[in-house]
Amino acid sequence: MTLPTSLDEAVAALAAMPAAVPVAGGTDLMSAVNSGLLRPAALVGLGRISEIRGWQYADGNALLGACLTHARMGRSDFAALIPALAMAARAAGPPQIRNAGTLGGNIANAAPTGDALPVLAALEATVVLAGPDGTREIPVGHLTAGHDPLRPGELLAYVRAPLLHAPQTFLKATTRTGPGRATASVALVLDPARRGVRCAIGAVAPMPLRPLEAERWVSGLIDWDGSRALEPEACTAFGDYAAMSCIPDPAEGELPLALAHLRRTVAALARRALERALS
Amino acid sequence: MGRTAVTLEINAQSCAFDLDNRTTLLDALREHLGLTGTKKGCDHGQCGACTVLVDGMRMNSCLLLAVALDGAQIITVEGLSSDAALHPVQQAFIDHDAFQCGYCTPGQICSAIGAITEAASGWPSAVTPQERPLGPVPLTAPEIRERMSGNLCRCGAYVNIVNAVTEAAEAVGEAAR
Repeated sequence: MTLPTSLDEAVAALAAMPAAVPVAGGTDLMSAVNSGLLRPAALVGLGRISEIRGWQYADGNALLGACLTHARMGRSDFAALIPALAMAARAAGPPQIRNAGTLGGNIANAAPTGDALPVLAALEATVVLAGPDGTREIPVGHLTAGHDPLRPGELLAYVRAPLLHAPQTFLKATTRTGPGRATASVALVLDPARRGVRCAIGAVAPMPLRPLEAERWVSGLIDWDGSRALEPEACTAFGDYAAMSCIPDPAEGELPLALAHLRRTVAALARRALERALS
Repeated sequence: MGRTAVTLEINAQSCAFDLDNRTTLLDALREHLGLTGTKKGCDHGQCGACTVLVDGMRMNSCLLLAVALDGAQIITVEGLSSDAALHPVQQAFIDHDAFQCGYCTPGQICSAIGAITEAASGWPSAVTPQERPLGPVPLTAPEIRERMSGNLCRCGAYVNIVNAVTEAAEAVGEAAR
């Protein structure tokens, strides 16, 4: 077990022991360790690296440290910067988990139900990876899809997210009251500078899905210089369009009932997310 | 798998251990120190029975590696009362009959202390209105239910737990004033 106090030390420790597992909050990792599924040869604790526990501003973006906890992201000052990420953080599990679990861990674990992931997809956020040969920056989705995985000795250091200064929403459906795992989640952000609505649907597929055609259609309907209001029928149609594109009809036969129900859930969440962002 | 020497401050006492790296804080407390007040319920962060305060923040001790916490201040249910006087949250749980079998109670009490501190510090929860004045969040019944949602009680003493936390929050607030 090593407890580095800087990013450089952590990268050096990982490079020296490529089999070591980095651990931040441990809320996902430890359940595997406790049940005997994971026996890490060595551990690199990330809890002492103060440079990745906060955030800084860089050219209209926020550079978020990978060890920001959900509890920290849920607080009011962070909610003023990236409201949808704050809403996702507040819903990301019970308080004991939110006090320990981190943004970087949510990405690295890449669970289909990870609540930060649809928000980062809607924001088109990127991750900054620190490695022995310097840093590189790739879209969050390339990492979570395994398209461009972490290389040996590499560590997720920062998340770069745009500051859009416009309404954002995050909604999720769960199987119980209180914070459970999402059965479906929707993140929706307005980008007035690019005159776009961006939306991502979480938990219905191995990674968040973007209903791009529905986004383009609804972005064209909105009067970006005026009230931005839409007729209720347009919001309903957006919800149905987004849900249909994430859970399409099968080539043959009927959609199974459970999937039809999930599609209705996604449609309702997407409609509500748009209504709330435009109200 | 290696071992690491670690020093934790548990209930205001410095404790030195030599632990297997995989040891959770929960196992260090129960198996190595004999502090069995903190309970092991599910061992994967679902039930909250193992909740302790780590540097003042409530966390599930079953999901924390003890060796990663070198130097941290841990408070367990054994460290809450001073002399003969119970902590206001402990007293409120007794006054309101907020338990039956008592297995989840140490976790409930540590979690309630964390919830009261977080609300007093103005941290919003998922049910806090988006538009609200800055400052402490009033602990209404819906706020308490949301903020205590990480602690399960299989006896179903939830109604009295909400009452106990409501009263304890007032008592702690008055003591701070």
